[in-house]
Amino acid sequence: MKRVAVCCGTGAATSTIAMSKLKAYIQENGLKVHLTQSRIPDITNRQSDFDFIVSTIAVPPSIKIKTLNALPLLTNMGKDKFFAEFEAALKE
Amino acid sequence: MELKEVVHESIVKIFPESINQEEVLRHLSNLLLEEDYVKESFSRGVLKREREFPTGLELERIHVAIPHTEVEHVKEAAIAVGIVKQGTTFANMQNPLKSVKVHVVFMLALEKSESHMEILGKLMDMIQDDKILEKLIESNTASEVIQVIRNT
Repeated sequence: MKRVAVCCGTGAATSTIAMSKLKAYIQENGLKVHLTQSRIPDITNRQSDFDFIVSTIAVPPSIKIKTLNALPLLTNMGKDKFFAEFEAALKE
Repeated sequence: MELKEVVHESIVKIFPESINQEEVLRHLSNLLLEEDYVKESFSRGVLKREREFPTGLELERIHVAIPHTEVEHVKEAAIAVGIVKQGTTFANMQNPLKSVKVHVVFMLALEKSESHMEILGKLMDMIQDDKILEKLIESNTASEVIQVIRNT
């Protein structure tokens, strides 16, 4: 099962929205994935714990693993494309 | 919890003139501090966070910003609203090198609790409605802004 980190800058606001939208999607579609809510500063040193990151903020160069832009989960713009990329990343 | 429960006339400001981002952020933080929703450290936290992790959101037509900081600086849930008539530049949340001309600033004083996150969710839903954003930027008084939010 893939491990995905759901992040933002402070770990409270936008990542919570992203988490709840992702959880709903995962349940609706019966996907198997382990989500962890976090902040970018905290996971920089534990990137190997995750398969990829979903982030509402731009990730710094210190983040080397695959990152998906989670803003569509906040703004609803480009949501379908996001979920398509998310499912593709789960299959990798 | 509803949006209208956390937005009050006392924390809404219309900025008719051209103004820079920092002034908007300071002004709105001061309103929140004066009304005792936040601690003194809140303003510094917001400015710092905006520099490190900007909060400009590029929507379809009218763009917004959602500045906020760590929950430890918040005393009571509130959202201050700034209507910037001439627009002001914020850096884009997803690409800090890109700037966004923002007309509505929602300064969030929220904690990690479920009800507060529920409010944030409702705010995110509201900003997806271009007509509501249009009404907000047309508002000329704090009272009009409150009416728009009450009617969503």
